[in-house]
This record gives sequence, C-alpha cells and structure tokens, in this order.
Amino acid sequence: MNPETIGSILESVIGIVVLIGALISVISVIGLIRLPDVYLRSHAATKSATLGVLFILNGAFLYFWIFEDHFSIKLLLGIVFVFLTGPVGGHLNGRAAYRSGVSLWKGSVRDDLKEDLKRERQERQEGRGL
Amino acid sequence: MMNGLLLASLVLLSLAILGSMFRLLAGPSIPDRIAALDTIGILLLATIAVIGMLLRTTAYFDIILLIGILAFIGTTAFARYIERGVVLESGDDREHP
Amino acid sequence: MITYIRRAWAVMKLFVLFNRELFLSSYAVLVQIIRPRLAIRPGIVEMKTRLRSNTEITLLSCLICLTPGTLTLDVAHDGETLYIHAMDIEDAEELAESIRNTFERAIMEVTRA
Repeated sequence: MNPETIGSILESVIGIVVLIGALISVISVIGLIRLPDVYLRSHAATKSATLGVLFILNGAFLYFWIFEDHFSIKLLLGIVFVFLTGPVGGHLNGRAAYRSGVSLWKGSVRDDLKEDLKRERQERQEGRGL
Repeated sequence: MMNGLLLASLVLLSLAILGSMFRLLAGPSIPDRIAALDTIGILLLATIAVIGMLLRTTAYFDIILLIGILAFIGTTAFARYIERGVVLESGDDREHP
Repeated sequence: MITYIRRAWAVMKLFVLFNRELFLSSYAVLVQIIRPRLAIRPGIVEMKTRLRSNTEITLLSCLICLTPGTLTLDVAHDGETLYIHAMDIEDAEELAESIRNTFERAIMEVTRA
C-alpha cells in the first residue's frame, strides 16, 4: 500500500469519528427536547453531549497530529477540561434545581432525598431558634 | 471525502444548537434553561473544532479553551444564583439553607 | 517504589473501567432517547458509601456524574450518604450494589494501596 492510500483511509476514519460525535450530539439534543423533567434532561444534555463533543475533539486532535504535524497541547487541555467540567456542571444544576423546588416527573418511582432534605431543614430551623 | 463528512457534521451540529435553542426559549423552569445554555456552549466548542479542521488552521484552539472555561463558569454562577439568590457570598456554606 | 507502581496500575485500571462504563451506559441512554415510547422509571436512590475522606467522596461522585444514566444530586452532611438520580431503576439495591462493586472498589485500590 502506498502512503497516499493510507493517508486517505486515515482521513476518512477521522471524518467518520467526527460524524459519530455529531450524531451523538444530535441524539442527546433530541433527548433534551423530549424528556419530561429537568433531571432527565440533564442526563441527556450534560453527559451524552459531552461524549459527542469528546469524539469530535479527539478527531480534531488526531487530524492535526497526523496531517499537520501539530501536537496541540491546547486541544488536549480542552479535552481534559470538557471531560472534567461537563458532569460537575450537571451536578450543580441538578442540585440547584432540587433545592429550589423543581418537582420530579410524575412517572418517577422513588424519591429518597425528599424526607431527608425536609428533616435537615427542620433541624437547622430549630438550631437557629435556640 | 473528508470535507463532505466534516460539512455533514457541521450541519448536524447546527441542528443540535437550534434544538437546544428551543429548550432555552421554552423550558418551563430556570434550571432547564441553564442546562440548555450549557449544552449550547459545549456544542459551539465542537463546531469551532470542526471549522478549524475544515479551514486547516490551528488559530481557533485558543477560542475552544476559552469557551470551555466560560461555559463552565457561567453554569456554576447561574446554579449558585438560583440556589441561594446570590452569586458570591462570604462565610460557611452550611449557614444558609 | 513498589507502592507507586501498584498505585499507577490501580489508576490505569480505574481509567479503563470508567471508559468502559461510559460507553456502555451512553449507549443505553441514547437507545432510551430514540425509542418512540418512553419506557423509563426514574427516581432518586440513596446510597451509603464506605469511603470516608473528602477526596474519595469527590472522586466517587464525579465518576457517578460522568456515567450517563446516573447523576449525583446531593451529598448528606454526615458525609456517607449520596443521593443519586437514576434514569431507569429496576432495583434500587442492585443499582447501589453495582456502584459499590465497581467504582468504590476501584477508588479504594487507588487511595488505600
């Protein structure tokens, strides 16, 4: 096999990786539109979208490394950063939603946090009254 | 081949951004809108990476990093705001319900 | 020296385990989303953890957050109960048990080698 064929095969593979990433992003946005409550939506949005974007960034990283001879630390740093911050943002958003009183979907099967949060708030109220 | 695949993923990403725009405008509660805004930020980052590959330039990598950081800080600030009513505060976290 | 090598090996194992979980559960969530009728049973499950230090609990909750289908909503002030919102609960005990068997054990191997 001559180098040119290998190059074009590699190019197509990277293109397909990027396309898979874009497809995962689109499906997770469908989830963002379709699912019934905030918590379920943030499952779809913050994590599957993160996975899709990781695919795309990895494809870009490989592309510039192989074809442009440019080992990009910035892109690598971006990948690590998205990997770390995406889920943390989802957690903060979910916690804020629960504490500000956004209710769960009516089809939810159990809620262990409700009672505990109520008890915790009551204890704090009593502690302040003393 | 490569360019066609990249253009197709660019179209798909734009559709995804449009979809999250719908959730941003329609979302019944504020956390919904924040999740949508976060998603838009992350998808923008991917779009810029794809555009960088199409134009064969490394000039946009700074912007990728910058958007990643700003989207996270924005989400954090909004989440703190709806939880406590303030963005920055002093003192122990556990003091406030 | 041996300890360091063992710890590095444990970190590698945690990383591989985590990537496998990420792909498997992403696939599960994506299938749920594009299914024409929603057949999900979401809910919040509490989970007792054996991990104690702040680092370990932070690591565990980050890993749970990173896996699609589960989301850490809150950590109780006693520092040993995590509240997890799961997308499809078949059996709450089983879910908590599977997290205990995979992530918690792998984290323990890293921090207590």
